Amino acid sequence: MDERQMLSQDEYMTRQTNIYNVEARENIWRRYIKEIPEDGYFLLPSCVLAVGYPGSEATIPRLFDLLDLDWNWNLKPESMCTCCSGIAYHGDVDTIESTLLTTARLWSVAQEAGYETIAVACVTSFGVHSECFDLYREETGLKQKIDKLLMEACGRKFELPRYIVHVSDVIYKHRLRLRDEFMTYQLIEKETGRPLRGVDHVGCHYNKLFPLERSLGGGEYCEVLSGMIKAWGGKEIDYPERRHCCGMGFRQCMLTPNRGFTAASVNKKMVSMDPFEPDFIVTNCPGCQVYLDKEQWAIKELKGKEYFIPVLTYMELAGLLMGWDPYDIVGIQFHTVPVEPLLDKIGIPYDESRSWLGKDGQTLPCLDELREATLAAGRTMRGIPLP
Amino acid sequence: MTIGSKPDWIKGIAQELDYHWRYKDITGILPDISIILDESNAELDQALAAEGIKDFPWVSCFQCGTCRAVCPYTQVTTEVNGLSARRMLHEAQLGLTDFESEEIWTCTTCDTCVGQCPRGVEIIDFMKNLRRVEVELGVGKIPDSLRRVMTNIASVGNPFGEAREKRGDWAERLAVKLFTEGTELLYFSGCFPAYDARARKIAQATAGILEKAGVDFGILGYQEVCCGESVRKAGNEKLFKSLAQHNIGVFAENGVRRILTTSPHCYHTFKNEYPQLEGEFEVIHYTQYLAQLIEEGRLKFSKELNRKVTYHDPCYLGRHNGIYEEPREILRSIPGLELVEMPDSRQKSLCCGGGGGGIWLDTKKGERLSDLRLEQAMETGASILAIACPYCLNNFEDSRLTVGKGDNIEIRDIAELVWEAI
Amino acid sequence: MERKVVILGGGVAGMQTAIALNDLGISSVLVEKEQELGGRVKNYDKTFPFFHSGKELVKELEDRVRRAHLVEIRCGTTVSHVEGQATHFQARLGTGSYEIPAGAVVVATGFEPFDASLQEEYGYSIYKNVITATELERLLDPEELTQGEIRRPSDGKIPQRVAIVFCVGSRNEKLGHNYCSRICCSFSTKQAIEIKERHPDTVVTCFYIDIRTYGRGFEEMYRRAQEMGIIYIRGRVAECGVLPNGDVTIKAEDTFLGKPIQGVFDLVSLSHGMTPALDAPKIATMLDIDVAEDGFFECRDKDLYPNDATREGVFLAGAAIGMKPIPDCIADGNAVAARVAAFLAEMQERN
Repeated sequence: MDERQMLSQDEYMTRQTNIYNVEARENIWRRYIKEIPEDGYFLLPSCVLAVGYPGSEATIPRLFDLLDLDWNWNLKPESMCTCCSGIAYHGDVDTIESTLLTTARLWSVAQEAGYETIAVACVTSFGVHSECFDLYREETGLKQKIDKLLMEACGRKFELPRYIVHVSDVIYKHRLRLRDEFMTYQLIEKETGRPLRGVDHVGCHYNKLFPLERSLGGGEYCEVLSGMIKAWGGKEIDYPERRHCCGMGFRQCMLTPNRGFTAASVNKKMVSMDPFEPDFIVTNCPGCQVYLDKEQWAIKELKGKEYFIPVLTYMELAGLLMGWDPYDIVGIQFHTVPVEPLLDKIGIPYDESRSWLGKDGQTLPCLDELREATLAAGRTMRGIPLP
Repeated sequence: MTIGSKPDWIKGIAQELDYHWRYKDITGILPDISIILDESNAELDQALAAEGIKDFPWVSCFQCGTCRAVCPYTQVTTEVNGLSARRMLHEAQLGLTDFESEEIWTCTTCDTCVGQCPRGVEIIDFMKNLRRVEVELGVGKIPDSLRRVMTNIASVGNPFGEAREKRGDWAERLAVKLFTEGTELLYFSGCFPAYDARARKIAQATAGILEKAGVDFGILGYQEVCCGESVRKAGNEKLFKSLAQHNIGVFAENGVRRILTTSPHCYHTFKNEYPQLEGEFEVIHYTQYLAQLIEEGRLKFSKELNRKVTYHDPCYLGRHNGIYEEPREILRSIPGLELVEMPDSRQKSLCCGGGGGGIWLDTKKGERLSDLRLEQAMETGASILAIACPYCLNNFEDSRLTVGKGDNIEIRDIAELVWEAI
Repeated sequence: MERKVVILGGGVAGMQTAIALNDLGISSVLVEKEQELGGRVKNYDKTFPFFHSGKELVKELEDRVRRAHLVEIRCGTTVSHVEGQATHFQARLGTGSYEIPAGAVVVATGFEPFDASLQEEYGYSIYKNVITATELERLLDPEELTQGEIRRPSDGKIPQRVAIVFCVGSRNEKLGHNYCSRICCSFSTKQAIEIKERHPDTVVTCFYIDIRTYGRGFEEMYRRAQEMGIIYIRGRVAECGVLPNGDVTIKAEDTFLGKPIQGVFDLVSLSHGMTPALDAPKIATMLDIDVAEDGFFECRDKDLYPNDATREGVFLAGAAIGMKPIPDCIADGNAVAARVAAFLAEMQERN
């Protein structure tokens, strides 16, 4: 990316106004406004993100606390949150009845804690909850059936929640507050003052499953991540394959014969966004995050073409802009595509040696030797993933 | 940074750090099968420009699919993407023609599609021009057998590679004279009857009939070369022109005015294509002539031929040139002969696969049109399949050996049947 | 009983109705909401399928209307209120108190082009180089800004590759328009021919679902378009994207070849369908007539009374009943005049 000549801000803006009607673009999403409550969220964390990008998932409670929101998750140790069973459902291992039961239980737990809004951290999970909600609306008698099954299975009762939102909706709602009260950095290139160009990649189950009712901004011009980029100083990019799926899909990435499809989808997106010279990609779906990040490496291995555009979740982006430690708290060392160049652009300072520290600042023992040897050889630890 | 580019001291623990297992089952990034519209017809445009055609003239096709539905080839192949004139026209318009594909050579130019096309698209011209691109610009691959034939024709004037001088040898022991100025009729046997052992019998029978009917005719033997019809359809315009000019020159020198042909292909090209090169002659197919002779009483039958016979309309006699009745009149006038019709007769006659250069190609077993046609003939209960074209003869004789119970039917040219009965 | 007729709408159908009524000796008031007569056709340089001038056609009609003694023309106003019954209507114009006593009312309010920005995936109103057929019509008009040369909005260059997208907004359940707008295939083909005539080197590609150019002279126009080298690909355009230099990317399937197809074009024109006039529901309420499911006015009987509305004394003409080409609008005008005359005569006899 360094060799490429970045357009000056003037050139970029001229080009933009020539091909876009900027005002119309700013307003088209307003047809689809979603009602997001200000407060009172019951948080359901994701399964995948905590494993691959632990910093990302851990940031959510911190953000909620920082904003002083009324939120909660597991109230009682025994009523633990479970996976929504989306992986099993979309991977054709489970039936919809099991999924309905699982989500009903989760709603029951939320209602037990006294919350009527479910805030979901994973987009697939969001899709699953929305789908179950809709099924109750469309099929008569289904609620009674699940009521009975739930009572038999774990002695619980449930009601349909009032709101089902995604955590990115919550962050969107509070984006201006975050910017005004807490952010010390902006998405602007420090040296030139140029707003950074970001690709907003919204998970398919967020904006395509129920585009009219549950997606902020509708199906085609989803605004939830765009709004964050714009509020925090950057500019979003509109490129031809913007709406293309990242290719993750459990049926593709989990089954070996279909893996080539996932890589091909990411490749198609990268090829399409390349001419627009993005600085970063922001996602709100754990699956997209994992695959857009890791498949860029696979593309380099298989095709030899290095795109290496850093992929961040919106929570990581918020955390970085608020000045939280990139390694200890945000956890960018877990990323395959190095995020440090982006930090350089924004002007966020970082100490790379901290990337090998474990909990409480202790060095991870088995890699002590490796670190010494690497630093002694005059190299950085960047680019070597953890086992 | 791949494992390979890491420093040596890391490679020791590289096995533990090996993450390639994640990618070992991806053999590659799946290719994008989309067509990228890039409307460049460069090669086809060049070939057309050489013929003085500026724009792609077959664009009035509106993709109705009639051509594919009536194409005989659809009856012998189960391939989903088999020969489809409609699809090839659309691909050519978008500049996507696959010149490596075999399907360009599959069309036998039987004229069924052209007869049915509601937009009047000249599909045979289109196929011919696709082939011209390959032959003239060296694009794609000409089938080997066809290439050999063209080389032979170019060097010795016949597709078999036999000596030029032997062209008249079929008439050795017969009382056939050399054509000279003033002879009424030139008998042009064509390459197959001249050289091929089985087809020679047609030429010999024809010569015998003409002689018995007292017709003043002669042959030109080694002075002739192939009529060039099949090479023109196979895209070799240059070779065709040189052959035609040679023949026209020879005919003119010898004062030829009327030509009698055995092959409908020679008939077609002499009648319809030679005039474009200023070779105007009166061309008659032998079935027309024999029918006329019989009607005029110049030919009388003395023997009976008590056989059930069915007749196959050759594409170039029937659909291309409208001659359907004369062969039947001949057969009906042979005493004792019972004529039965096959399904798909006259305009709907099922091509034997010989036209458009098909006679020179090695068609895969199971995809031979003549097999199908032979079966249709056998189902009529006939014991003789009568034909009027040497290509048909060749193909049916081949099919007879491979099709089950093929021995139950014999292939005879009409000339041979007449010769047997007079 | 009153013998005057009020005609709502001064477009082609409305004007022809007035002219025909004049010929039958019946007086009428032609009410047009814009300042000029002529409706939509007055902006069309060429009509289909014979490439006659729309502007001259309108001028001719306007001439005849103005010379017609029994026609009173009222431009720049609308009928705001109608009271009474057939043969005794009272129609009020505008906000004032001018009232017209009328025996019958004719609705000739025409159509509204579909707002292509509602079909978001095509990016109309966002991508500058995606334009609609109406805008293309203006570009083709030699009296307009570019003197008939096609220049694309983003940088003014003459496009080498133009794509015309058929069926935008029609035959689409998601948008609530299940009907076919009938004339879009025809005007799109006409526009394609015009582009090719002005710029012979430009490659014009049309993406369609079906080609519905029926009627005398229409199929011939389609054939002519094909023979000029305009490429027709059967496959509905799925989405448009834009590249940094302003070129528009299109994704579709070429159903002839059974493969997805992607193309980059300099200019994309969306052939939008037609929707009923925006004030149709208001007029329906005002006149107490029915509107059909697709939004156009309902007729008394689709086979035998296609020009009668569902209320006695109210008649329908032109595109207000459903899209149709210009000759059919003229025919409608004549038909309605005959119906009105017959109706008034019948009412006269009864009294």
